[in-house]
Amino acid sequence: MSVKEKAIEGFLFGAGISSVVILLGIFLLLAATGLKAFSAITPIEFLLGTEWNPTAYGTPRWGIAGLMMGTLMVTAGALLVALPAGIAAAVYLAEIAKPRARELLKPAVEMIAGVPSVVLGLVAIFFLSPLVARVFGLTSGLNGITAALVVGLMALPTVASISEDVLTALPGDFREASLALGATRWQTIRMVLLPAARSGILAAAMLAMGRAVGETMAVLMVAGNARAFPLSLFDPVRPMTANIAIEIKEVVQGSLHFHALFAIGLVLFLFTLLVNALADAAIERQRGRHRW
Amino acid sequence: MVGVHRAEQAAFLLCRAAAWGALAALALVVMVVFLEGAQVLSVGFLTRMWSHRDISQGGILPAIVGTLFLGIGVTLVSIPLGVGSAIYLQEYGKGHFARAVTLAIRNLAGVPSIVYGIFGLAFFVQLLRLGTTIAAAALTLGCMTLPWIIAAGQEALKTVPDSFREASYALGATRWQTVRGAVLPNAFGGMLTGSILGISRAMGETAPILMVGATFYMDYLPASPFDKFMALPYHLFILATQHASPLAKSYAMGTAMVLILLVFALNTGMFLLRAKLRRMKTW
Amino acid sequence: MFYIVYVANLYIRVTPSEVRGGADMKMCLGLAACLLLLVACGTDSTARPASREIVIKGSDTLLQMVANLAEAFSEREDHHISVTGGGSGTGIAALLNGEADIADSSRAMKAEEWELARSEGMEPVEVLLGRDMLSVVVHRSNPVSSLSLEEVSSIYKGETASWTAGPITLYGRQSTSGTYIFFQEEVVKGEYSPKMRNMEGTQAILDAVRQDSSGIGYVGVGYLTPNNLQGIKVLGIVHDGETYSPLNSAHVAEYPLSRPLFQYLGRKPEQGSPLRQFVLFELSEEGQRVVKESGYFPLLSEELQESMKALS
Repeated sequence: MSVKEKAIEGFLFGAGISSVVILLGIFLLLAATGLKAFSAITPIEFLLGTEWNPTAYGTPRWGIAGLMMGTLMVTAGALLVALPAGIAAAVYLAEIAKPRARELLKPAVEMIAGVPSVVLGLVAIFFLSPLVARVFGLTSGLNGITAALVVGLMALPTVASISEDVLTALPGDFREASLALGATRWQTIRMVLLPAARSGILAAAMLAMGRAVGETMAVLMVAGNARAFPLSLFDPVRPMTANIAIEIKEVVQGSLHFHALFAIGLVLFLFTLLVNALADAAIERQRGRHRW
Repeated sequence: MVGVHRAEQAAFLLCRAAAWGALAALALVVMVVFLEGAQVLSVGFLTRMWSHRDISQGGILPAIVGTLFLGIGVTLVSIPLGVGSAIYLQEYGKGHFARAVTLAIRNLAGVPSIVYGIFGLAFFVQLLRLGTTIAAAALTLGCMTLPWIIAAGQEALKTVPDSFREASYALGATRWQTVRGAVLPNAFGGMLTGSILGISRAMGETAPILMVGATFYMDYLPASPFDKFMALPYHLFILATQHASPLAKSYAMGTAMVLILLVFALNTGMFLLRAKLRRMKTW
Repeated sequence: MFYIVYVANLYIRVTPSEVRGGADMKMCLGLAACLLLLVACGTDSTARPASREIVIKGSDTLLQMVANLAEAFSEREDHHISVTGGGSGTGIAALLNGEADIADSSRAMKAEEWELARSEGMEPVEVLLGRDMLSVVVHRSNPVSSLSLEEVSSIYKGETASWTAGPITLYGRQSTSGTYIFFQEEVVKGEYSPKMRNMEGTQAILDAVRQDSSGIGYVGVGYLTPNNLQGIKVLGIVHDGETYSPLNSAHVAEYPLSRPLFQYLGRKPEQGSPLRQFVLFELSEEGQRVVKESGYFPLLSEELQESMKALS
């Protein structure tokens, strides 16, 4: 190979390696900065403490259990919305819809993912939140439910898109064999296709969960952001992402608060790594089974 | 048997409702934004500088410019790396290393935007001392967009049939000559559309620029990568939550409308371009 | 510059009519090169106003007012000023991190912050800019029309948890806010109730209270524009048997929650520098008039003298 070829291959290799470098870089920076927090805070207090109050009048408290519960509640609520609706929509797009409807709907559903989260948050603050307050008889619509609804809408395209891909990739023989045995279309879907697609759908769920956990702007605007440990979805919640967004602006570089926020970031990062790993495993299983 | 049929009808109805319901939700959001935002939309709104004391006198020009500059910045950062990675993975990649890179890309795509934000803050703004400028924001958003660009690039490269490559090798071309002469020109359209889609998403992001840069009020347009900047998503966020003018809500909606139009225009433009390119393909 | 960028963007979206991908690629690469050149030119030709650029960050309460001041100042002199909010804590942090020239703050800098600044080699200058009368607001339908400071404190601590009509919803700022800190130190004198909702900004508090019949919030008086007063009620504060209202400018000295608004600089600005000119403008008659137009109150004369002294 000529020198030029080698040089170009070198450049391309460098480009390829950049992703790994960036990922490692993010991890190392988060770890280096975040772990410094544990010189003053014990991991037990951090992970299990229910009170987060770094700028307290008295002693600061550094427990993120309440924040994690906020994230958990919003994510669970969002998945409760996005999974059934997303899978149902995917089934419709893959199996039931006429081609023309499909051509209109598939890009439309994917476009939901294209709407910036801050715009959804905007509409939620002014329109969804008063509606939620009225429907549930609360005095304020800034709570976990509103946040869960918005994030659910945002996660829906992920579930629908991936599930639809998985379903269409299933071999046609499955449908034909089932129908030949006298099953109705719905029975085919319910008893043959969905079970066959289940690893793929699990992957979709995992990815949607990762998306929900990582959502910042929409929850920041409507979740209420109170520090109290949330006891139900009707309470205001303070997910980890919103907490970082709120407090990062006031921290002085190098302060304990700064390090603690990075520690939360590290928790988020590790969690999404885990979710991605599980999703990957699920996709591999689906591929292994059904040539997808 | 009737029961089974009824069950099927009910189930189909639910599925139909879910799909159309999602569409309805999207339509509702867009409609709300447009109805409220259209009230403030005007040529002046788009071309005037932001006026603070009486916001009806001003416009969101600096925010539009800031967002566009960010878009250019992200392009400059992520496209060379992204396209290069995609080419490497598809055309040169070998076994374990390629798998490691693919794994890294998938994980990068899942990292929450706020984590990119604090990374950008610690690394570009503070460690590299770039300050809260366009450069820092473009670099941060560029890291975030990289996985999408790579994915788009890989998809585009995959659509080029192997026969093209084989023919080229058969004629005695080296690998790079093959890539440059036979593969890239044909994958270019797909790469372009996919990349611009990724960049349009980056332009709508708020969380990273919350901490890495955007300002609320500037009386000048940014002229270099080391200037401060305004940006549409951040502007919209502040108008929605912190501005006292009675017009703030409408202006927030107007800004949202401009942002959505920008993103949708890029999306539909790329969608149409992709369809046309597909039709122009001779294989 | 903008138009070139806009046209370039349009160009990228235009479908090329040529079938050969090679031609497209060359066109696009050529375009990219042109763009780069333009950016480079832009960097050179417009004299980079580094020395005339003033970066102001900080308090939400002061944001509107300082942006108004910046705008008024820019009308007289050609300077580049950028203003951002985020809260007093954000501004001070930015000042200490070297990212801002002026920190807007609705609270005084804490002792630790002074120490940190000195350890960074700064000698911060404290300038008073105007006065605020921090107001407590409730929903229009709330029968209560005035409260004592102790009652407000007990409500915000969570000890008093309901009105006669139902449970109280607490709205407050976030810990980045100087208003939050000021309110905590002067009124609550303890921990805020963890149930308090930390709103993104002052306007968010007003919007929330307007929609929540059992809500209560605290806001800087500059936000109580005629439009914002719709749907809410401003409570009078009872002190020593007298009720004071923040809407009454005559009370500015005696209102219990009257407070000065600060700006902090990293060090004394040089003679003739734009920074110094700007601060002097803010303290001038015209500047104080803008303060008043923004809904806040001009400095008391002793405070004005103190600020001028700090600058010289």
